[in-house]
Amino acid sequence: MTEPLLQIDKFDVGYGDGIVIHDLQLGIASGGSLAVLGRNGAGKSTLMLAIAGHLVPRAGRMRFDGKDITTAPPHRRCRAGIGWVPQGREVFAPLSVEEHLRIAAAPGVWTIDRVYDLFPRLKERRGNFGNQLSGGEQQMLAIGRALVTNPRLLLLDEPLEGLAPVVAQDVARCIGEITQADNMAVVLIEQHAGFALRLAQQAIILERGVAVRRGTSQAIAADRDALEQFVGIRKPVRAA
Amino acid sequence: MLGLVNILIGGIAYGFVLFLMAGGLSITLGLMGFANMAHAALAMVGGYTAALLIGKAGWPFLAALAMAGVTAALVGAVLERTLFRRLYQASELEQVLLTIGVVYVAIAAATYLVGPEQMAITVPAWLDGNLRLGPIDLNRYRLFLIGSGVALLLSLVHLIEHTTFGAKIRAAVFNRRMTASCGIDVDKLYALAFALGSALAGLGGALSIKLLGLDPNFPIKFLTELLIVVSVGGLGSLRGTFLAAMLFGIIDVVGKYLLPEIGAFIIYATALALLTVRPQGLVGRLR
Repeated sequence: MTEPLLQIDKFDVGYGDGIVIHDLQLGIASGGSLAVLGRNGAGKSTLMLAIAGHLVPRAGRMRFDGKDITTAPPHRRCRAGIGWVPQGREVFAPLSVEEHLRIAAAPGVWTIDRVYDLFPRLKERRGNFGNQLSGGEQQMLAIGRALVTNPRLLLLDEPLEGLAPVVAQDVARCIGEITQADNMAVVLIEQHAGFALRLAQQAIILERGVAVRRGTSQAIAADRDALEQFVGIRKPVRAA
Repeated sequence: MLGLVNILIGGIAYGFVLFLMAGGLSITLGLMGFANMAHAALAMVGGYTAALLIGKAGWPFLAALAMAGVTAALVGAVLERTLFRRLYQASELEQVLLTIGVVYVAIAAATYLVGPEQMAITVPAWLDGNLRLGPIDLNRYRLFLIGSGVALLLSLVHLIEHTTFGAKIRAAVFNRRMTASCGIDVDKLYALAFALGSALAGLGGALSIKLLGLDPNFPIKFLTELLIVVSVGGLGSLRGTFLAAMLFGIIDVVGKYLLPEIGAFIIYATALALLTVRPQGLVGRLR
């Protein structure tokens, strides 16, 4: 059996004194996709920060593409192929749309022009600065900025948060298109559990930093007790 | 009337001297947000390099200028890698204390190595003397300073606002974490930007000796003026630094001429008044 693209072993992550994620075991295959579900404070974003390299684990190892990256700094992880779309988008206010893409661009199939093809709105706004964009445009920019680094694993942290329903649908459709193409693996955090479970093949539910359920998205979507208990969803969820 | 025009030209030339020295500081202090008192010491390093290369080693003027920039960049890079990089995230007070310490070490080192006396610089014949334009006498060296200052302003604005390197610096200053996650080695980027600011300090120091003179107390004499220019201009704005340099150059020279008793005090009073009315500076925005 070949090694997964991302392999996390016995992971403990925390801030200050507290441990937020405990003894986490995770593997994502090349081209695979994982939805991370759980309530606020369950450790979802902490997990993303740790994969992106902004939090160093207290214990455990992380391997990416066959190499140990447990202590690698964020810029090396990005160059190795981990693209991060952070919660809250974190666009650069003093940079134009075009500059966001130029500073992040690395050689590969995702060029700046291809991002403009995917999000024509960004092309129209290429000269505008980060703080002159709408929420939806900022989200497209944050995704485009991660794509031009040509990641093999894309981390999407609440990409639909705070978007108007119509805009959210559009962004969700684009995320679907991106993940189908180019054999790109995805980790997705999303409050809209239905969207997350339709997009991802695998799913995991975190509760206070511990993985309490894991399986295929269909199995998790069918586990209505777990969704109600750990994610707080009462109505039925449909997976792909 | 003609006298006043000549004084005004003197003020503009002094403004350009200030800008040539403060341009680099508007990168390290203004843009990168590092309270870099050592900037004036790096200007002195450039000044001594040029003066000694021309005076003792017989280097041509322009080659000595270039070497002044290179030497200051090297010294700045060494200081940044060994000392300053540890304090990027620290408070301004800690940054000021460390870098002002570097200034005093530099003063002592210059006194020990070169001696306490004033150092003069010889400029080539093509920069000496005056150029007559009708009734106005223009000093060639001052014209050269003005030309260099304009070139510096245009190239710095281009570098920061229109190149990928400049965009990376703006991104890193705004959000260091996200910039790193774009695959950018922010540590290396800051080292480069600091070396650039130091090179400009050295160049500005070398260019200004002819007008300002050079002795080991140079960093202390001009530190306040440089800080005023960058902060009144507005942190992070090169155009603001330029405007403020012109303003204070003219006010200082004209003030000392018209009101010699309080002349030296005028620029401080102006800075105080301007910063009271516009704490963000002439062009800057509050962070």
